[in-house]
Amino acid sequence: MSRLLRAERVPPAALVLLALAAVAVFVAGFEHVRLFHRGYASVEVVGPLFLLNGIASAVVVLLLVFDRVALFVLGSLSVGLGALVSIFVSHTWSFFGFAEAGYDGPATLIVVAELAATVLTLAGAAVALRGRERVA
Amino acid sequence: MSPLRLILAAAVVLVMGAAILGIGQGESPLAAAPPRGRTLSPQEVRASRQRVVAGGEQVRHGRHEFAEQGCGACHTLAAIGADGELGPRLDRRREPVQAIAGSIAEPEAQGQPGYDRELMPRHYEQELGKEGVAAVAAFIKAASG
Repeated sequence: MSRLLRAERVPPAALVLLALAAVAVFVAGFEHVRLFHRGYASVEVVGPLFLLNGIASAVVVLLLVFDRVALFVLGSLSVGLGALVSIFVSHTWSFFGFAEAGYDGPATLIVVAELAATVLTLAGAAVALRGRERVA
Repeated sequence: MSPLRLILAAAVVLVMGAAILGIGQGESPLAAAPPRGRTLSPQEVRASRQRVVAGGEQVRHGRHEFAEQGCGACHTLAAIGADGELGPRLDRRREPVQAIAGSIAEPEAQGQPGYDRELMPRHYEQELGKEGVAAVAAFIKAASG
């Protein structure tokens, strides 16, 4: 646990990938918050989850800013995969009673951003781990 | 801690914090929405349910699609206990059934004033077909009286 909280340096290539992932996390979080204020606040459970996504996204980005790379990877994957699964469920069945019928502009932006965040985080983590093995 | 990191952290906190507080987001479309009107009385709800039951095959199909698509998460329709507030309430629609079908198929063209048209999915006609949209419109009209 203490290892997770420790600041750590990663290779420049990994840092670039993780920084891009952080941008994607931020964009997705911002869009969730924007939708919350555009009316989703009135939707039970799902509305507050949009706000929570924005807060969690900001915290995750700050983890990378302060070099908590392992925690950033965990947080980014949790937020990204959580959002993608929720979106898939709400489009396929319903999510806490809320069903979406299609992908309009904001929904597409969120899906692309969460997908990018997940893929870039995994790529960044892989490059960081490979760099660590080489040093060892 | 380098100054660059502090600036980045401050920017993240400021931008997302402002967004969370709703600063710079403009007025919520719901704030400009017309009053949702009084709740239907138990007699009105009963009458609405009876009209739906008596509505025939098309209305039953529309009711099924309405539930299947989760329309009640965003719209209020007392006859089936739907109490969503994201979109306009549907149990007081007075326009012809064709106009209701038009607002389902093309919400950007015929959306209700005061609601964010961007939030209404535009795929219902593609997903349900013209018949499905007409059935949902017939159900809404029957429930509205």
